[in-house]
Amino acid sequence: MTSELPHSCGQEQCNVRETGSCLEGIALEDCPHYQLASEAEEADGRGIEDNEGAAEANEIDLTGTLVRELPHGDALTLTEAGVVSGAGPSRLIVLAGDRDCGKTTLITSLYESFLTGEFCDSRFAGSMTLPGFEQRAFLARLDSGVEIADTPRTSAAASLLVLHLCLVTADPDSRRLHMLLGDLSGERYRLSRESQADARELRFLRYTDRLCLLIDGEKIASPRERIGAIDEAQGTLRSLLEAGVLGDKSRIDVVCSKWDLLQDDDRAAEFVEGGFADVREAFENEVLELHFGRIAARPAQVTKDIPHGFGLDALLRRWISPKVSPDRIESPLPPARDTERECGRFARRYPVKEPK
Amino acid sequence: MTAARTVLLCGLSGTGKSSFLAALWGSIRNKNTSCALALAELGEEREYLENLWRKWVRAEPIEKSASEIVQPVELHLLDKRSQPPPTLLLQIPDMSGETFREQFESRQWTREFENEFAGAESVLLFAHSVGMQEGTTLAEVQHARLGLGNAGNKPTVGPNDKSDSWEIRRCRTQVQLIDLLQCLAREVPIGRPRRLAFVISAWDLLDGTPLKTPNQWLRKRMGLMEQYLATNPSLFTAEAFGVSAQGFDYEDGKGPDTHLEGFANSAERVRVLCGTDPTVRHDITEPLQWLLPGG
Repeated sequence: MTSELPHSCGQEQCNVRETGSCLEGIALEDCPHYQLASEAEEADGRGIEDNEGAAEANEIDLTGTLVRELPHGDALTLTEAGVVSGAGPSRLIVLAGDRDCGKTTLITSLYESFLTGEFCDSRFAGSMTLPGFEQRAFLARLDSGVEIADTPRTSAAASLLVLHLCLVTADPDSRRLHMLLGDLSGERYRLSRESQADARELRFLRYTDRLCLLIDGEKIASPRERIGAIDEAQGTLRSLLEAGVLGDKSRIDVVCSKWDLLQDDDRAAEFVEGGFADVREAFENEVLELHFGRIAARPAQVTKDIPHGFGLDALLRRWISPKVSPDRIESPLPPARDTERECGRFARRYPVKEPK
Repeated sequence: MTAARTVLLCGLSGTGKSSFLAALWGSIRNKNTSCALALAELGEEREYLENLWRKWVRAEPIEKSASEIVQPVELHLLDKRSQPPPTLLLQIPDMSGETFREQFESRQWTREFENEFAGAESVLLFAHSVGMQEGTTLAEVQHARLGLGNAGNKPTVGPNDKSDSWEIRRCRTQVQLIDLLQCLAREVPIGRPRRLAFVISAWDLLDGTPLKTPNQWLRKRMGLMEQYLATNPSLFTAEAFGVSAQGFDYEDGKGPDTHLEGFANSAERVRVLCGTDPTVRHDITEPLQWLLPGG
């Protein structure tokens, strides 16, 4: 099969169509965006000569009826997320931090923020993972039967799970942006501190636009846990940097979660300030950007000072701000062959088309 | 020459699709109808519509049972807004609420559905004004208590079965509807925006609430849907309609005679509001007018 547009990439500022060169300076066959974008375009209304994807879309159910499989709607794999990122401007944000620090709750609360209207000067324009968001948000609903909101734990065995929100920003250009929010079990980050091999396993972090490292505010509230919480955050950053999955092109947000538990605790709040200063001193020269923040994505008790989603607006604003320079680290690892095939199948089956 | 136009009529079970068809038939079947769209001819097969109408005109509930076969409808219409009035054949392949639910939960639809219905240029999408899975969060309730939000004003009517177990059917109603629209746009693109009439049924149940227009309802009750429609003009050209096809609550205890005594004809019983306009009109063909070329 021949493609009418052999060079294609959804990344902002990438001129591969004109120049044939990758924005990030890496070999085209190693760039997931180039590769996936071209596959998606082949499937996009140009007639698919290779009918592998079409054959998969036409399946026979148990009653013998010809059916079309619809997108599964659950969290995307990294390779499926690559198809989405190849379809237009995107941001891959990966949440990091130890178990129960609030990674999934942050992602879920961000989704909930759009349920009642625009948020942070952005509007919801679609999602490939609506049922996935709903499942994660279910235990925060009145009709789930729970009395205290909760979030299901991300499986330690799961690979990176990516939730998708397409947003239209309110700036004069009304940019359409695919937000890809990566969630991974806290267990994997603990292991990354214990072994460089495990840290290197997280090589997908090379492709992220930002890493958001959460420090568990509940641990900060406990004098015997708080020092360890800051040390763990430092340990995670150091191991990922030494493993080469983060580097001088990385943009990092270090965020203290569950701030509602600390707002009336001056000593704990001071400790957070000190911890942030230590992290800045240790890492500000090793990464491209280092920002700090405080959030209460789902406070136990909302108040006028700490409403639901406290701090998320500042975080999202940073995440959706236009990039000024390429910021991903070069990947030394081309995608495995089976991964390429998986991407191709997903792209052919679920082409993510940008409205004209 | 008669132009044919297919309208996909869809929505979850109990969202007023059958009542709408019954009221539509009751409003346009008479030659002297005041509606902008009239019947050019009665058509060959009318039993399904007549059966629906018989119940509607007597204010009897239209039963939702497994034996109720949802049937496609063909209406030969005369558009009285133009001179000379053009005729058109309106085909409404009703997608039952059960089909809708099965497709959403199984994440697949039949090729028959795709070939016959999903390619429709126009969509009549139904949602019930109060009976839906709104998914109010515990945080919204807390905010309402603090006077920071409006969750406290939300009606509690709806299929809120108490259970801790997650199933995909527990997705919020607006999420299920957006998912359908995304699948239509992604799987069966038509190369231009589909016209979409978002019908909020049982509008009479909102009497006495602060919600006075369909757009207000959409913003307050389905904020995600409102944003989705506004941000995808290349996929959907949408307008919201509030429709009370029954005209009143059958279960308010007053009995149908009390209510029906006040109406001089079938159309008077129907209430229709459009977009940002709080004016109540009685032409149930307004959502269909919107779906037609030049609507």
